[in-house]
Formats: sequence, structure tokens, C-alpha cells
Amino acid sequence: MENRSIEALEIINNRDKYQDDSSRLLQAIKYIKNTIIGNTKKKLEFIDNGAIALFINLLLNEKNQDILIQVTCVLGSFSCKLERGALDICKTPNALDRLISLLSHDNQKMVESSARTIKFILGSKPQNSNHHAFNHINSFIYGAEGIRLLTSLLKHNESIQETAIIIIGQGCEPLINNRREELNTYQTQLLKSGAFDSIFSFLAPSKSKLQEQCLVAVELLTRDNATVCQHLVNRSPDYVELRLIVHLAKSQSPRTKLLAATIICNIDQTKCLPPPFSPVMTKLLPMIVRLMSPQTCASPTGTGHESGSSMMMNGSDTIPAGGSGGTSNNNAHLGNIEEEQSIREDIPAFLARVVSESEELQRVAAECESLIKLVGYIRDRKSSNKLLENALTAIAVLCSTREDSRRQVAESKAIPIIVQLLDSSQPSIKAAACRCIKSLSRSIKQLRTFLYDSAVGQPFPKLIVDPSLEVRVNALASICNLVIDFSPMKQEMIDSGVMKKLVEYLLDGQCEHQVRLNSAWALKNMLFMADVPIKEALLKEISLDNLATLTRETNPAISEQILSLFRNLLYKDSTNIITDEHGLLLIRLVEQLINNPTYSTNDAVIKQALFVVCNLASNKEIHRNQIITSPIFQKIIYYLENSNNHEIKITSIWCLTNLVKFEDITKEQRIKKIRDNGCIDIVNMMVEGSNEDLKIRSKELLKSFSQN
Amino acid sequence: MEWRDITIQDLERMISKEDWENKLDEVQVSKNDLNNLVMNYLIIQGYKEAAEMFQNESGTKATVDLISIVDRMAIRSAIQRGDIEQGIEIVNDLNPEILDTNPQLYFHLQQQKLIELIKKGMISEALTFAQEELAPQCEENHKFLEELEKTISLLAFDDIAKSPLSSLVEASQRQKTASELNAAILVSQSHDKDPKLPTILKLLQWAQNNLDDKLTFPRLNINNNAELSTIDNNSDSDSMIE
Repeated sequence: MENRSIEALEIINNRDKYQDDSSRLLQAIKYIKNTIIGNTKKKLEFIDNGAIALFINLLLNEKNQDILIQVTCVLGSFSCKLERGALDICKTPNALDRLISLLSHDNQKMVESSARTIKFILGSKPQNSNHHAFNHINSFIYGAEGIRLLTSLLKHNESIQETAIIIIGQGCEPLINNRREELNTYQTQLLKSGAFDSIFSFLAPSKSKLQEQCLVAVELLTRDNATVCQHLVNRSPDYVELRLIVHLAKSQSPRTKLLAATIICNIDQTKCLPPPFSPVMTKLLPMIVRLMSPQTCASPTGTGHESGSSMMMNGSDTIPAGGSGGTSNNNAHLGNIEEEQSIREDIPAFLARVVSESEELQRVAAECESLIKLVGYIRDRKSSNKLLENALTAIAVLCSTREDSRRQVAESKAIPIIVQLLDSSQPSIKAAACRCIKSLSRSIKQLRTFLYDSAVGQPFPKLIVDPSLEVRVNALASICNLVIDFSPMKQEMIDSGVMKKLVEYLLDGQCEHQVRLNSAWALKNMLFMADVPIKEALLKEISLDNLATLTRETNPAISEQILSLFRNLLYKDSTNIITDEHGLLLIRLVEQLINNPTYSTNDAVIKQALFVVCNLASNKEIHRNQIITSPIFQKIIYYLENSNNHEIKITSIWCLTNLVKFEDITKEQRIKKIRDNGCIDIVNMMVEGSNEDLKIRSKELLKSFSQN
Repeated sequence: MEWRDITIQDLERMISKEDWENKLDEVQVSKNDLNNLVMNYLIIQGYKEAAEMFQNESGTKATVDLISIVDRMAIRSAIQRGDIEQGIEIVNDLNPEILDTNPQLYFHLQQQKLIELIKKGMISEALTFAQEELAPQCEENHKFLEELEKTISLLAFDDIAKSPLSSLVEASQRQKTASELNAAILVSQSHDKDPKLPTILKLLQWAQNNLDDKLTFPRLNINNNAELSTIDNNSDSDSMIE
């Protein structure tokens, strides 16, 4: 450390000596300030020499306002883009309290400087950091007092407003992905405090920098929150606010355009977009996709700001940019490149979000060549990790339902690249590539051709045991399609030991819910129309004891898949793989299940349970007789009379049909029992009903009776 | 230019000065917009007194606290006379965020400081400074490293002024650094980096050049008291804006 720096720290440390001469102290502080600003190496040097403790001491004890302003400023710089600085300040809760109390100071400069420091601390705090030192600042921004203070800062000067808006955004960001309820509460509180309205009021007078920050905040505050979206839409007559956002979505600046479009997307997805605006997204989407081509991004007008006066223009593509006298700036371009890069990363993420729930928008996006551009990004070796991840995610969404889009991706020879990216070093890229494979493999044609040719199955045995949960979950979801009956990879997947792993996940109650659900789903698909050896292999993996464990599953979604798995296992079992014991166990399971209040109203689970009964009834006499004497039989009659669900009724009819259809010694007794319970009358009523399938099945059943 | 006879078609493609002026008169331009355009130029170029005067006389409200112009100009003049530290001090007082969040600008200021040391012949100080201050910043940015290497190689020349890198030590380099800093301050104050007026004049120039291919019309000669040229005197099409 240089002598002057040591000297400056000395002066601060012995400030009592200089009480009469505050200018020396001020000078020393300003020297440190000007040394560290912009210079991470110097910041670390000072931190190593105990500077933060010295400055916190000043912050807590100094009375002189000029000095205090400089102190907050230095603490801000220590925490700017430096996690260690932010952490060190947060470790002293008093320091944070003092900074917070300065937000209510009379001196604007003091407020400005303290707010900025809090902003820097939040900006350097790693997202989702669980370090307890950050608890205090979190309870400030999410607490009632913090919300009140931040809202009051929006009434100060422009610079303070901007800082407050950024802090509010920083409060929302960590909640976006996995903490929806907390986000919703925070958004709604900021709506009630008036912060949302204040931020919105800064949008109209278009001062480029503040406007952009406002758009960021409005986007975060409207995300997944119908209350806030509804408020925005209905705030003034004639949709003034919404029309402003639509206007901004047509701005010259790509960032402004994208943010405004995202806000409209938020409003659309919370079902708050009023009918006159419903075609807006269809029109905006191609405009946003156009921003994706590198040429548009590089044009000199690409980052033009909306001007303050309506007559002024942003120049045109063919006019040479810049070079106007003293302010010409040859370096501005580099800033633009960063901006372009971040825009390029954000557009695919936007695309994925906006089209996710609308097939119509998926079509619009596909028709304006978005897939070609996205494939271009994943092909480009220079693409950043973020861009790769977002482009893959967008491809996955665009191909989730449209065969045309899958074909387009396959024909652009992108599948080998996607398969390669399954092997990326970045978990988020691997997971996104898995999502792509899942969408593409929904097409039998792609599965049999391009996907098979690219050896898509090979990486999966490794992917389903990946250390990253996100990768495991997405890999298991893709496997569901790769192991289905008509998949050419099915045998390969089974040979590679995938089944063993899936059973292991399913049986492990400690395992994450999503992993178990996807495993059950994949096993179900694997057993669909499966050959005897596959069924045998599964029963070898699941012992009888484990089968009993599975029947005690408490999660309805997983239970549904397990039942469906049994249904596939039992289907047309002519080789006696399913022993008497297996069958009786399964009948007991269904008995428990249909009488369990948790499931009795869950039609999806009930339906699968009935299919299990139905398939059991088609296999063995002993099981048929067990069913007809169990409470299941009474329940079937109950469903026929009372259920509102046609599928459940049809499945019930199937069960009865199988009980009377198969020739065996005890057949007559079963028919008698069914007749005695008044089933014929009930089924006769079904024949008169309006549901065609139900009619046909009922007639078939009556025919079986009359033949006997 | 080759001489050829004027044909009927040529005459049809001509617009007289009178017709042109009539057409120009038809276009409504608001006085307010024009005043804003002037104010925008004065503020961004840093003419504080002119802006004050203009504000008083035209009633056009300045979009920014005019005192901030003084700071901006003080920073500019500090950099232009080579006092980089003074410049940094005022910027950090004005807004400490600018240099903390703009690594490229910070690097260029440090680079300018290095150039000033070399110019003063303080070789060992320059080397220490480059090693201690600039080199760490280059670790993450390849472009910075290139620029640093170029600056350091100034030391290899006996007569820098005659070296191929002489542009680094000229006043224009200080001006460049000062402009970059000025632009960053303007952006931080929600201002455009460049005034709008020159862009509009460029647009005019471009439109006139395009129109030249289709019509003969009285051009506005920007470097010539902004007079309309007459039809027979339109050869002066290379007029420059600055």
C-alpha cells in the first residue's frame, strides 16, 4: 500500500486529534474515495487494511454532514461490484441501520448517497445468497418500513428516484423464479404503498435513462400478478396507461421496445389484456423477432434513445452516425456492443415466455423465421452461455406442439448441435438442451429419423444422475419420450440400465418430488405395450415388498403415474408374469385408494385405479372373483350412478364387461351378482344418454349379458 | 462536368426558387421545437451563459440544472490541460457512480494519466504506474492490454512527436478522453451524448444529396449563411456541415 494511503487511514483512525481541523479528515476521506472509485484492486487493498471498520465507525459517530456524505459514498464504492465489501458492511447491522436512517435526512445529497450505497450493496449480494449477514438488508427492503421509505424516495429528485426504482427492482429479481408467492406479496405491497403509481408516472416524460429503469421496474412489478396488471389496465379511462406501453413497444430503442413488449406479455398472461388489445402481441412479436438479427442490432440507430421532443428524430440507417464536433465519441460503440449482447440474450428468453401458453403465438413466431435465428445462435461458437441457454429454451417452447417447427429445426441440421450441447459444462445449458430434445421427440417422425441418427439416447444415462437437479428433472422428462414403444432408442435405453435408476428414484421417498414424478412417468411409458422381457425386468427391479411401498404413495400426481404404470404392466398379461399374490395386493391397493378421502375426488387417480381393476379382470379368474366380492364392485356401481365424469363411467363399464366376458367356471356367479345389484337398469339408462362412447360401451355390455 | 443541351425532361425536373420557398413555407414547424433544439445544443455543448440567456429571452426551460454545466466544463478543461486527477476528483464529486460502473472510461482516464507522465519525461513513474495501476485492469480485458502496450511503446522512441504513435501525445488525445468522460456524464444525467442539431443538418445534407439524383432544386448551402442556392449555381454539392 502506498504511503499516502497509509497516511490517510492513519488520519481517519486518529480523527480525535484533528477535531479542530475537519478539513484534514475530509481530505483524507476524499483521497481514499478518489483512489478506490473504479479500481477493484485498490478497494481490496484498503479492505485488507481494515478500512471498512474505520469508515463504519465514522458513519456511526460523525456529526459533520459534509464528512458523512463522503463516508457513505466511500462505503458505497467499497460495495460496488464487490461482494466482499457488501458483505463486510452487512456484517455490522448498526451500519445498515444508520444508512437506512439517513434515507430520511433533510440533506438531499445525504439521501442520495445513502440510497446509492444501499443499491450497491444489493447489487453485489449474490442472488439467492443465504448468508445470514444479508438477512438484515432483506428484512429492510421487504419490510413495511422499507417499502414506506422506498416509496417516499420516489418523491425526491430524479437521481434519488432512479436509485429507489433500481432498489425496488433488486427486491423483485431474486424472487422471480422460485419464490412466486413472496414476489406476489411484495408487488402488491408496492402497489398499495403508491410506489407503482409513482414509477408509472415517470414513464410518460421520456427521459431515456429514467424511462428505461421505470420500464424494468414496471415489468418486474407486473409479472405474474393479476392485481397489479388489472390496476395498470384500469387506472385511467380509455386505457391511457396501456396505450402508453404499446406506444413504447414501438420505440426505436431495442431495450425500450423489449421491456414494453414484456409488460404487455405480463398483462396478457395474467388474462388482464382488454379485448381491443388482444391482437397487440401478434403484431409486436415479429417486431421483436426482427431485433434478433445481428444486422439490426449493429445499426447505428440500434441504441438510439427516444428524444425529449416529439419532432426530433433518431436518424436513419443510411446517415453516418456520430462524429459531430466536440462530443464525438469513438468509444460509445463498445458500450453499444455490451447492450446489444444483453438484448440478444434477452430476446429468446422473452420469446420463450411470451409464446409458452399460446399456440397462435407459436405459429406467429415460427412464421417470422425466429427458429432460423435461434438455430443461428446455438450454431455460433461465440454465443455466450446465457444466449445458448435462452435460445435452446426458446427452441424447446416453439417446438413443443408444432410439428412444422420441429421439422424446421431438424432440416436446419440443428439436432446434432443440440445433442452435443447435452454434454455442455454448464448445467443450465444441459437442462435447456434436454428441454429441446423433449419437444423434438414428441414427434415420432423426428424420433425415428434425425434424433435416432444423432444418437440422442447416449448421453441420457449420465444426464439422469447429473449433480444438478435442474438437469436431472429435465433429462428424466425427455427420457419419457425416448423409451416409448415406437422409439428406436427404447431397447438401448433399457440396456444402459436406465430402468434400474428410474425404479431407484421412484422408490426413494427422500428424493425430490419432480424427480420421482418424472421417473414414474418414464417407467409408465416404458411399460406401454411392452414385451414380456421388459415387464419381467421391471418386476425383477420392483420386489413385492416395494410394490406394497409404492401403493402407499401420498402424492396424487405420482400416485396417478404409478397406477398407470401398473395398468400398463397388467395389460394383456397372458404369460402369468403377474402372480396371484401381485394381483391381490393391487386389488387391496385400489380398495384403500378409492375409499381414501384424499383421492375420492381426484378423477385422474380414480380413472387410473379403475383401469388397473379393468386389466386385472381381463387376466385371471381368481382376481375377477376377488374384485366382485370386494368393496370395489360396489364403488363401480356407485360411479355408474353418480359420477359426472364420462371417462370414469366408461372405465367402470369396461370393468364390468371384463368381469362377465371371460369364460371360466365362476362366470355365471359373477353375472348373477351383477344382475342382482341392479346393474342392467343402470346400464340401460346409459344407452339412452348423450355420450356416444358411453352408449357404445353400454350396448356392448348388455350384449354380453344377453348372450348368457 | 460535361455540357449537354437542356431537354424538356430536364425542365420538368426543375423546381424554381420561388416554388421551392412556397413549398417550404407550407411545412409547419413549431417555434417551441426549434427553441428546444437550440437549448439542447447549448446544454450539451456546455455553453452555460448562452443557455441562461436563451432561457431568459425565449422562455425555453432548460432540461437540466445549469450549474451542472459548470462542473462538466470544469472537468473537460481539467482533462484538456492534462490534469487528470483534478478531472477525476470533480467527476467523483458530481456522481461517484460514473467511474465505478464504467471500466472502459476509467481505463482511458488512467491511460491518459500515463500519457501525461510519459510526456513529462517521468519514465520510472510511468512504468510503475503502468504496472501497478493499468496492468491489473488489463487482466480481464484484452482490448485494454493492446491499448496499454501501444501506450507503453511510446517509451521506445527518442522523439515521440515523430513516432508513428504521435497522435497519443497530441492535444486531440486529451480531447478524445475528455469527450468520452463528458458523454458519460451526460448519459448519467439522462441526456443524449450528442446534440441533435448536427444530426439534423446531416439528415438535411443526406436528403439533398438523394434528391439531387431526381430533381434540380435550390439547395440549402449550410456553410454559406444557409442561403438557398439558385438553380444555375448548384454545383457546390460538397458543402460540409462543420
